[in-house]
Amino acid sequence: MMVNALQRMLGREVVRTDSWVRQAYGYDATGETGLPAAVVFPRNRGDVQKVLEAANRWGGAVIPRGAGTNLSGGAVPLGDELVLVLTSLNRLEEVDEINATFAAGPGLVNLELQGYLQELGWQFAPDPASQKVSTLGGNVAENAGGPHCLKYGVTTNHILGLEVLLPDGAAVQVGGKVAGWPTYDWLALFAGSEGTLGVVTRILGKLIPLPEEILTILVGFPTLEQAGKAVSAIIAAGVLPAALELMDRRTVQAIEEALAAGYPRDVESVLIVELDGPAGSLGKQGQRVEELARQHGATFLRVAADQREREALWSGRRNAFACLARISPHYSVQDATVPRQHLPVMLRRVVEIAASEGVTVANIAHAGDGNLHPVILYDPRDPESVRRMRRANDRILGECVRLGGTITGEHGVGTEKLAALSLVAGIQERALLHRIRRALDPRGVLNPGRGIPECDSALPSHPSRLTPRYSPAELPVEIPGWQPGRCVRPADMDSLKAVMAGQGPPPPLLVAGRGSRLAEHPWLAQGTSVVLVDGLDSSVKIDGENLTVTAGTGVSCQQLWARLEERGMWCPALPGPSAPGTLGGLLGSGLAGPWAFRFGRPRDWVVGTRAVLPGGVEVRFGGRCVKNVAGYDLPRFLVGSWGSLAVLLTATLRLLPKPQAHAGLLVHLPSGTRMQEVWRGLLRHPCRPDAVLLLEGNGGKCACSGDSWGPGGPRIVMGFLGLEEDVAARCQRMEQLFHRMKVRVQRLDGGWELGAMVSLPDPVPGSGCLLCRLAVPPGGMEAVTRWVSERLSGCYRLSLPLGAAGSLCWREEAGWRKDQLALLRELADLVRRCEGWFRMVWGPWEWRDFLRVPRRGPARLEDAVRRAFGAAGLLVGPGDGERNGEG
Amino acid sequence: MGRETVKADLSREVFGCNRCGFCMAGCPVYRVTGREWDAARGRVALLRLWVDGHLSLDELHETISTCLLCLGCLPHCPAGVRLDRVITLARQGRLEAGRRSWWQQVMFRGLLTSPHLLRWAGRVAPLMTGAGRRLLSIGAARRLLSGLARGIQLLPPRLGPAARSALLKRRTSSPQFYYFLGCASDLVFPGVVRATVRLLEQLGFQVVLSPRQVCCGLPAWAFGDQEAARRQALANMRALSELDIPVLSDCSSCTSTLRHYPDLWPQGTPERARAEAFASRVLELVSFLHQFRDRFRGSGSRKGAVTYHDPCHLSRYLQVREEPRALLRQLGGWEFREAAEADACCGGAGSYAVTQPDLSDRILERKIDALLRTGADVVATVCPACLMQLGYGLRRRGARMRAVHLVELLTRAATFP
Ligand SMILES: Cc1cc2nc3c(=O)[nH]c(=O)nc-3n(C[C@H](O)[C@H](O)[C@H](O)COP(=O)(O)OP(=O)(O)OC[C@H]3O[C@@H](n4cnc5c(N)ncnc54)[C@H](O)[C@@H]3O)c2cc1C
Ligand code: SF4
Ligand code: SF4
Repeated sequence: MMVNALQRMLGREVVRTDSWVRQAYGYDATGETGLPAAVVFPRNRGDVQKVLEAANRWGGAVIPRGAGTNLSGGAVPLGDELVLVLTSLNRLEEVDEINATFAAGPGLVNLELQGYLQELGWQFAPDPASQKVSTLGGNVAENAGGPHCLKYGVTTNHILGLEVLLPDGAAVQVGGKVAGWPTYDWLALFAGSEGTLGVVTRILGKLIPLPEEILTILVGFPTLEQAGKAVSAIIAAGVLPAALELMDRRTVQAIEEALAAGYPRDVESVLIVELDGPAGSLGKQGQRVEELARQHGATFLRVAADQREREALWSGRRNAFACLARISPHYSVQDATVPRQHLPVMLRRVVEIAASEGVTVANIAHAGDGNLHPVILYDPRDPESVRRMRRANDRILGECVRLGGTITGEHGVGTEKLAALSLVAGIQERALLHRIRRALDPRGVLNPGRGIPECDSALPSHPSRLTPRYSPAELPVEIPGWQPGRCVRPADMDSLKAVMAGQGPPPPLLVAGRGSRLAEHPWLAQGTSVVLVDGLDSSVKIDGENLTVTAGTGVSCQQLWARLEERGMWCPALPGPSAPGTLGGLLGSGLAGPWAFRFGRPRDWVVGTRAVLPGGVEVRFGGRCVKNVAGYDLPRFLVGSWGSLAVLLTATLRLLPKPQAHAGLLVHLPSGTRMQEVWRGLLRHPCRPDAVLLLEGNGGKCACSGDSWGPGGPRIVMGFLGLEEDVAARCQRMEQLFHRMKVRVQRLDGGWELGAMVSLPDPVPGSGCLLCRLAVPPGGMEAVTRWVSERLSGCYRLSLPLGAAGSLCWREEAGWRKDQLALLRELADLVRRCEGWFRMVWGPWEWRDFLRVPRRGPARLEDAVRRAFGAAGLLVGPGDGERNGEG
Repeated sequence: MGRETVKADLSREVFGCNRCGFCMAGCPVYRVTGREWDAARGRVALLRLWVDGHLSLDELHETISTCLLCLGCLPHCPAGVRLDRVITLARQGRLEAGRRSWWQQVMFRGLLTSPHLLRWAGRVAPLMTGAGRRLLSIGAARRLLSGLARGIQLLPPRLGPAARSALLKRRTSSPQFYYFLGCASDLVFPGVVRATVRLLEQLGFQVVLSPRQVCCGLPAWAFGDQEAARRQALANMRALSELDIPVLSDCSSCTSTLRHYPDLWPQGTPERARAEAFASRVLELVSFLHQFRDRFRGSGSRKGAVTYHDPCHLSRYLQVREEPRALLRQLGGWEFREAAEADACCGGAGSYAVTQPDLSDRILERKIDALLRTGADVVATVCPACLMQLGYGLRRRGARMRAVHLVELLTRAATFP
């Protein structure tokens, strides 16, 4: 029925039902096979939409498919699905060099994109070993990693926007050319959702400059464990290699036999350590790596002499699985991930398990991430061999979970790990995952039977009928015009659960930490009860070897900072030594610190959370592994949700060794400077800074902070941090860049104070100031700053960082009038035209319409997800202000 | 050979495939279609299903016939699956099932196996194409005879007299090389033939064309007609063994085929031994000329920029990639520019342009795009089939770039004491 109708609609060339065509789409890079009902080759987005609509109408199922290289069975039909082949939607639609973004169809092959970009001096960071064939859509769907994600992060860290066709065929646009849209973090949810929530039809990605210099060091060790230990040592030393890959003897031999890539054959394990950075800055780091390797018993050391030698090494690494296939064409690739310090133990355990099960195993690992890919060779024709392979795999996963690891770091759950998911996700967690899935795909159209296991959709609620104990609390800020309802602080965890089960103050509840960021809360409605949760958990557990910290959300940001500093570490999610509020407040708001340009926002550093759901159930997602694609990426998704979905109890954050050096530059742009030219030169520069902020003030003395901003006119603040030689080199090169543009550069004192300068203190509500948040892509900054300086009077300060949301504060001595509201409207329109976003955080309460976050595209998604969490009606969330319609 | 042996051979060839999909990276057909069955992984998977009895070769007609045999997949395939063998075996399986068309019969068993007919073809070809062009200027005929139309479009606007007769008339006292005359060089690029022979003579080598030489056998081999290919191979080995001298050709496909004659027979057969001895006498022209590279430095005055297209048979079947580039890089007056995907098949692939005109066009478009992006004035290559296809692609775009045989550039640059 459905297939016939589709054939009539789209034609027989687009919808193929020949048996041989269907058989050609019965498999992916995994071992299993199936048979779809038809294979559809959509020519454009419209075709995709029709297929989804038809599937909804007739109850069909659809498997989107890129290149079919995933290793979890994600694209293998289970029976009678439509396979939707997206390879023809492969247009590179735009390379926007001023904003450093690109837009492309989902079928574009990763390496083909890299080819276009390289000609222009850019790259897209995700580089799965399959990059020469896998598609961007597949990379997003699996949240693919790759050798270089150690330094640069995985796919979710590099996408800015997506066009997604929801399971019913409706198109939504999420994200855009700037970061931090005032809605949930949809990119976090869709990246790694394995095609279960929507079909990605357009990808807006981040461009980063190609490194100037690359140093590839090949190290050989007499044992696997020594190599594993060297990995932790290198990272602990503050060297952040671009890649740190490990392979064992068997793998190396297979590679050498197939490709003669240049690896030593007489060692038990090899590490590829690749460093990249500005020209001339790698020598010392290279030496440091060599020293550390020697200290850990390295018996072989060679630096790749040239591009060719490096390419040969990498080609060996990328082809490693397949080279092993020459020994036995059937293999199963495991994707176990452990906290980094357990890598040596895990490697040993893999060998032991293989020996005791009598299977042949080869070890390959993205060692820097603790991500192991043990490859088990087996013979599918021999049931005993298959059984042993399965048993060994199960034991490896069990062991890895026991060590605090996860079942998949980058390959996904697919069909293969549906059962194994329960090793890391309990019944509650699975129920929530399943509810989210059903909320977006009620008819089960997309990728049924894979990704997320079926699970009873009812979230169990807190069993106890206990009356919550809590004390009345006071808010640390007063927001003129806003009258909250009751404000309480639950006394203990059980009380919080009871509150979340609806036994506390009357809903809707507004959850906050200490309340210091309340003024910024996007959904303040009159009379809502406020629950402060800062008193519950303020523990701090630093795992120095793994470079993670697990902290209670009640801990204050300052305290956490200090604890980390004591141990010689820092977390880029924390804005600075003197940031206000609690960790919970920081994560709930998701607001980025000054170093976002290089290090991303808090969401980029969270790898695990423990939270209480509406109903009072406690759940855990993620863990301590830096890579984890088991289930939806809820730890990230919950960041920036303003307590509207769940209460965060603890969070695990990635850390970095404390930087050795800081430096800062300040540039006053002379009038007439083409800002476009500045961005063009700066963004693509391999020595670009780690923090960039464009400031425009009218030169007055700020009434709130008391700071004086010197003469007017736009200026750029740049911050650098890292190893001494690296910071020095980059700082100097940036000075040269501006000198060439004939612009004077001033050095700023380094240290975190620079960070404080970059993240200027916000004015406080009630001070008579008005505060707006806005994000403007570099290409629009010139227009926005010009508008502000020409149209605003009084005292104002506009700060626009790259990579995060900025702010505008404004004060009129004469008080606020209607025509100023019109001005703000004009500015908001301008920002939107520049592809940014704008919202007023506070100002005259009468302008509250303008305070509301405009609900555009994803409103439907917001509602669905709130329902899935059971949060609608209980927790204040998107759209609530409107429903309450105070006054 | 029976069907079962074909199946057994095939299943040995595809045994190593583990479905990693990396072959897609090198497949020109997959690159333009994005369809699984156009890349090696899909072809192999489907043929496995034939071997296991789940699909018939008739059903698999498309996947069997759209392969270019370009081996673009091979360098990407860590398991070393050889699609040339896989696909020719499948085509052989089809022939054995009686799926043979009349024109294949005429070509492989008749025309291409007979020196006389080949000479006659040389005489009538220019007349035929002239007549063909006139016929095809009638729209209706063009639609009816689309394959023929595509074939004729491929040819350069003017066909000169074929090279064979003229070459045979030359008298050489003590030749040092057999010149192996490829059919396309003979009929379509007699100028290339003259340039090659002259260049070799200027280097001091006498060459001779054997009057009994026939087609190298590649077309028959590629179509799965191993029997016909063997016959042609035997005829050539006989014809080119009268003198114990090396063999040279300006056509990379011919050279590669001659070199691979041993593969036509199983290990241990006397024919194979003979073919091995013969193959060792076959030299590759570019590597041979590379030894005399000092003679081809040419003059310094700027002539333009040149890029290079790797013929599949040269770069992957014979593993010659660096020598032609080295020669071009040192060519005085020419600036060498590497093109993207320079070693990707141009979509000519013998009769592919005629049997799969649509795919061939799309593959060619991508090729021409990449060539034009270099901004070069000339693209050099070493195979008349590529020359035809590239020439056609460039003409159709109205591009300024010209396609030439490497030898033509060398001849112009050559200096001799
Ligand atoms: C040899 C080898 C090495 C590999 N190395 C790595 C590695 O280093 N790192 C890594 O992360 N992975 C690696 N992989 C796994 C795989 O290549 C990646 O997961 C890749 O991202 C899959 O891309 P694809 O285009 O092949 O997707 P497919 O396999 O076609 O699809 C993967 C899943 O995504 C869904 N999907 C595909 N496109 C869309 C879309 N547009 N919208 C919604 N859903 C979609 C599919 O339904 C399917 O569930 C490797 C695989 C192989 C064979
Ligand atoms: S590259 Fe080779 S092994 Fe991999 S799928 Fe293709 S043919 Fe099979
Ligand atoms: S031989 Fe060429 S056309 Fe055939 S599968 Fe390989 S790359 Fe593709």
